[in-house]
Amino acid sequence: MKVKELVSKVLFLDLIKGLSITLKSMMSGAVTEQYPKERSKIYERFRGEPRMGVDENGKTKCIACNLCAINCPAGCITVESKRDPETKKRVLTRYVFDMQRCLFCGFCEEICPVDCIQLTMDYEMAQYSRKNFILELEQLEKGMEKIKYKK
Amino acid sequence: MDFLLVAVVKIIIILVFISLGVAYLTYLERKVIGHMQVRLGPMRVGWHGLLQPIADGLKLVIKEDIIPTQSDKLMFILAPVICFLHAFIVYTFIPFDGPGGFWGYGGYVSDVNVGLLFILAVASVGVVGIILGGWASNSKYPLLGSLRSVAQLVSYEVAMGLAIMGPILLAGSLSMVEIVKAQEKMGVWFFVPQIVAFVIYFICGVAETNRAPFDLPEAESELVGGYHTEYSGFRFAIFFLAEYANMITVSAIAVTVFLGGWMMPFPSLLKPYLSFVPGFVWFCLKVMFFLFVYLWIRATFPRYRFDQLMSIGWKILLPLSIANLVVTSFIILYLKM
Amino acid sequence: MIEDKKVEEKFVDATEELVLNMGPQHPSTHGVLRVILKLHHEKVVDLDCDIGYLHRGVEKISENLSYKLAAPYMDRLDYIAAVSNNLAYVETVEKLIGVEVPKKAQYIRVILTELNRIASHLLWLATHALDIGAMTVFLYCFREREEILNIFEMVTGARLTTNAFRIGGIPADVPEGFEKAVKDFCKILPGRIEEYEGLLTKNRIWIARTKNIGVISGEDAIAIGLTGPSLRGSGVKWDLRKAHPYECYDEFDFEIPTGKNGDTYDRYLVRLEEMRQARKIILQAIDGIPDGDYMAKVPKMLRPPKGEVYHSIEAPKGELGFYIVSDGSTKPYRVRIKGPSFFNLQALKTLCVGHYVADVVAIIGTLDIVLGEIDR
Repeated sequence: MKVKELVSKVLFLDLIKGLSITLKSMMSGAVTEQYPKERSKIYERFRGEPRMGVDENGKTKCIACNLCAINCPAGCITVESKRDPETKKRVLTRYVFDMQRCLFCGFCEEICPVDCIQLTMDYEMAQYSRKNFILELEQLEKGMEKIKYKK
Repeated sequence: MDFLLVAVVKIIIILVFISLGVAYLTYLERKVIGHMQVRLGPMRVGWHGLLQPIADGLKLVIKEDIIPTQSDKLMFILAPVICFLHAFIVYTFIPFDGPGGFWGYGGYVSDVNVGLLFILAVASVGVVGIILGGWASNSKYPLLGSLRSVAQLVSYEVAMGLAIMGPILLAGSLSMVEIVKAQEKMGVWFFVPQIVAFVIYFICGVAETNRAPFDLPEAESELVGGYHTEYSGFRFAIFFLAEYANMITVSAIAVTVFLGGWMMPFPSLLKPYLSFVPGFVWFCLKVMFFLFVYLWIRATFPRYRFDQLMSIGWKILLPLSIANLVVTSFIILYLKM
Repeated sequence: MIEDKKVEEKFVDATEELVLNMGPQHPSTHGVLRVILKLHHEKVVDLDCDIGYLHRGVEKISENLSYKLAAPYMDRLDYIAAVSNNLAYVETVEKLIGVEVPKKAQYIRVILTELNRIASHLLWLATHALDIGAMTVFLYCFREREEILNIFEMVTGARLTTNAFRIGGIPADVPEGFEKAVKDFCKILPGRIEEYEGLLTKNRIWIARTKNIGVISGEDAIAIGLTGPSLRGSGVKWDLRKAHPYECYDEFDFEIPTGKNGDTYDRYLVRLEEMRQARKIILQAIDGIPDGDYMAKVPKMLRPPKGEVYHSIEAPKGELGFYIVSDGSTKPYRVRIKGPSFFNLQALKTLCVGHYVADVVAIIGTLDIVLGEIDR
């Protein structure tokens, strides 16, 4: 045992083993993903940029029930509504989503009774200004303005 | 007059060649280590990132030049220059090709009869730059880095010098050209009879150039950046270039002394087919091989601790190199008798 | 001779200690830890830890949120092992309201937490090796961690702060392809661990840097409050998965690896073996996922009875416990987090004094701390 250890030490066998592993890795291909050119697969459940759904007439699905605002741990959703005097139904007047505070926990998406708010698979949310992170209903329906990577 | 012109032209060629070599050594390092780490390395600037070193250099040059207010300004400015200068001076004496090389003008700027000694002497002055840089920064991390560096270089210089003594005894000369010629005459490169010296030289070379696993003076996980922590922009670039130039120097000495310089390998086998290949191509290929091993080692090994490094230097390498020297001298003496 | 000694003493006295400030911005303090080192030459004489740079007041935040809504914040304690953190919190609340989680959910929880254990240990190995200078291991580990994060993304929808579990079960059944992805990962893992071992375990430099560095005996470790692999490296066989089985850990067959000397090298071996054991648990669980519900019946707005509860699990870094006091309302009266990293960091001084600066880096690495959880 002792002799074996000494031999391996003198002949650098322990070091040569490591060197062979790195050389082997060099020969096998890289796992890098060249991001803006290639994109990785995003799974369906991914919780990314929030988006509000619209019905077939292009009107918002939101029924102003305020559940998302109550169920948001960070309190980043504000729902303003008024009661329609004719139909006695609540109507959405303003919906604000503050992306800077969002935890992307997905509670709003889970709780929404009409599948209106959704966290989509879009993940490129960088913006140049903090103002751009405070999204109004219109932007939430269209999606954020994206800054595209140019060659 | 003619002699002067040839020398100047050669100096310019070598300067440009080495500067480019150093720049592309950084590229090679990033590529080789990248692929070893299942990455790609630089890919964006130019085809497969080929223009990356130029982009890096440009970036460093146009960066703001910061001199810490508490530093010793003169020394702070001087330190990288010292490092850089001594890293480049040594190329004067390195024979890239034989006396008949470079179209008959000789493949070196000058051949001094104490060439090897001079190279070692000049190369070790470079450490002054590192000490000054660390000291002048007036900051704790650079100070620790430079102190480590001094201790490391001084102690490994001894073992390195003694390791080279073996081949010098075999060649009977300190001239770089003569050493290669002696290998030609002997018919075998010196790393075969001097394998112990070769290994010791290689390990010392890694330590001399502050490369992993002996990169303690700039161990980024302990000392942030070591002696060049406070440097930025162009001054940092000069330190950086000096380090890589030193790598090439150490490899070049190793090639000249142990691997037969500009000679082709297996001359009896390859001479009929490859005699048209000029000597400096062989030289460059051998140097490249050494550099690759450097990078390979950096990608693979962890870093030694400072005290362990010193004990390897003094307790293992130095006695071994002395033993090698003694044994070699006795054998030479015996053969002569 | 006596005079010589006197001169030497005088000389030693004349040299001042060097106070070196390591962090909060330093490549190897694993976040924003600040260590004030007092050095004699390069040896550590004394050190002091300064924490709190990442304080967010998670305990206070959760007092102002309902039980369900505090869960995502717990992911952000130890963000490297978000699933384990979530599990600990969710289980504590379940214990408080007395809900029995369906078997299927339990199995999936075990799979995800064990995957998370592997991911956490991989990241630990990566950074620990990088601190000691082996930079290739760093990227190899990240390559495997990526696979685990992909599985997390597939199941929970996020890669890092997963918010994987809900009080009473899991939010959704596992998607198609989950089983295959986990099995594929389990297939490649042993070979990859071999690779790290080939680069490190027998390597003389790695041994020189880790053997007999930061030695702590089992008794001292218990006295300081070390938990997890750091404790087991000292030879104490204590694992909450065996000691107080939670979820369905008592149904699986696995070993608790322990070390002998309590040094950095042993802790390294223990963690590597734990990865293999975690893989073993995953393979047993993935074949045994029962059919049935994945969510127990839990009221939408929780109003737990008055009382208090403490529950702890074996997180990758050690014992992670939650102590919740309920006053009968929808919000907890007090939430106290007992995180492993905070207690493990306490050992830093004991381990470091007498070692070199370079070893401090190795010891911080071996304790496997996460500042998000220490400062919380």
